[in-house]
Amino acid sequence: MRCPAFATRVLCLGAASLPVVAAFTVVGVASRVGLVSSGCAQASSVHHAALVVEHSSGGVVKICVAFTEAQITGEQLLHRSGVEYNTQPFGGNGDAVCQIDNEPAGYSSCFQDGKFWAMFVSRSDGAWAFASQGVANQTFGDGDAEGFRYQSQSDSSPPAASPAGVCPRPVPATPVPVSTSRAASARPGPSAAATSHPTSSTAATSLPAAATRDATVSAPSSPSPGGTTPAAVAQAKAGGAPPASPGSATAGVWIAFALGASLIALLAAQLARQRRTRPGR
Amino acid sequence: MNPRAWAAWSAASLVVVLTSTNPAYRALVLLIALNVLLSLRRRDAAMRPLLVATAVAVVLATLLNTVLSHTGNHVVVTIPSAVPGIGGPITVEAVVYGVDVALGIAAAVLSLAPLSRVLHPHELLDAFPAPLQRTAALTGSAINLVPAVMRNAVAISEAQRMRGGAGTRLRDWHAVAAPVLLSALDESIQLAEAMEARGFGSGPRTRFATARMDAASVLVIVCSVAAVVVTVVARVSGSLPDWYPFPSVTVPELAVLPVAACILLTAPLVAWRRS
Repeated sequence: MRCPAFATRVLCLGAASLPVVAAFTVVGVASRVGLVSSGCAQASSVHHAALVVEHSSGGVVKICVAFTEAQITGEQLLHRSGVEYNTQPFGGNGDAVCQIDNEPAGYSSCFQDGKFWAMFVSRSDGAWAFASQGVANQTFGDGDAEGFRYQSQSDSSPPAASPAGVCPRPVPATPVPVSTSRAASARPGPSAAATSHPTSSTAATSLPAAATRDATVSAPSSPSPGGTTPAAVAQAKAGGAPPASPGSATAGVWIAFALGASLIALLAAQLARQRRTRPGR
Repeated sequence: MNPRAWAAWSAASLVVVLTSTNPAYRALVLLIALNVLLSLRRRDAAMRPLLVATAVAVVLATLLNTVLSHTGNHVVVTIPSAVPGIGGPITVEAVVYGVDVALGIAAAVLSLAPLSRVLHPHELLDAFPAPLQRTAALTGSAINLVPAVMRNAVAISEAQRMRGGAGTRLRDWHAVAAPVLLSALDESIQLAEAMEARGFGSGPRTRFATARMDAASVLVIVCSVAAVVVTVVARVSGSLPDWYPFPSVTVPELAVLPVAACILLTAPLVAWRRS
């Protein structure tokens, strides 16, 4: 060792970094699984989120889905609504939602004839906004709404139908029946290139494209397995874990900004120093 | 710094870059790699060819994705569909995704660059474990054969032209191919004799100077392993999802864990500053 004192400090730093890394990991995982922010009390309450599907014909399907979790993913919401839908792997980019409520009737890709199922999000009956994440990652809480609109790729219009009024308010205190067996049978695992998600039992009847329907679908207690992605493209995430807490995301932005600024400053300093020390100057 | 520490750092950087398509993390790793290269490269290692090649790859990736991917909501211009291959709408989202792919390529290339710009080739060979030493030496020799043959081809071609022989056209190269092949065989025999004279394959190797595993190397290895662990945990826990700008561009989300992994990758800079 050329510098024993420094070596000792570095080894101590290395040893000390392991608990720090472990702490980062624990905090990150805890925030992901909701150990910090969510408790058992929330699991016993019933929440509602709306699903609004707007077909190219203008027909709208509105369904209110009840769930016991604090949040569910768009994939879970779509699945529990009972609406027929299909997904297809999209290369290395995950899956894409190709078909909802039998539209399009047939397809070879999720961007059939330049059209696709665009996904929108509404928070607390607010305006529609493009989903920033895939259907397996985008989460919905009580009062939120998930919207799908079959439209061309050059069209960014949200669904004309408002999500307001689809779900009852205030939230009922009595829990809705839980049908676990239905959830287990309604969602076949992804086994082929195209994954079908047919409805089952009473909800299996095809919803007419032009119909507008309000219905409350019971919430399975177990989360649906697997994961698909948003209307356009997104990575499938197994389990559909809820996203990082806003505080964690904000801290990540600030730390990344500070790191990036420091690296750019260091890079500029090194370039300036090399320019000064270049031969001939 | 020990070559194995550099190998660990390069591998960890690749893991961070390739685990997610988030451009923010790719940009951070790219900045770290640039700083590491500028700080720690060998004095005789030229950076310009590497940077030029990387820039070409970046531009090509961006251009190809822009003209070949017609997905996205914000159309800038539409190329007539009669144009084969590239006909269709050119979208902002395609450009952004092209930049994202280019960032990934640049970050991956520059993450591996220390193995050639910081280390000497013999240091890299020495870093291989004992059972792989022979394989490493043979692989290195085989790889080195390509530029050697190229140099021979250029030298023989110039010599032929000075004598009024072969020109620069493709059909003139048959007069160059035979001497190049013969010189390559001759050099391979010389190399084999030189290696045998130095005891290659005769038993365990001895080294004139062994690479030291100093404190800085330990620090870099520990931080690299930690970066990989943090990245994998972030990916599994869902805080490191992929990012795609389709159908409309969104700001990529940043989480603490992946940024912590990037911070751990700055270990060579810290070790260099302190040692």
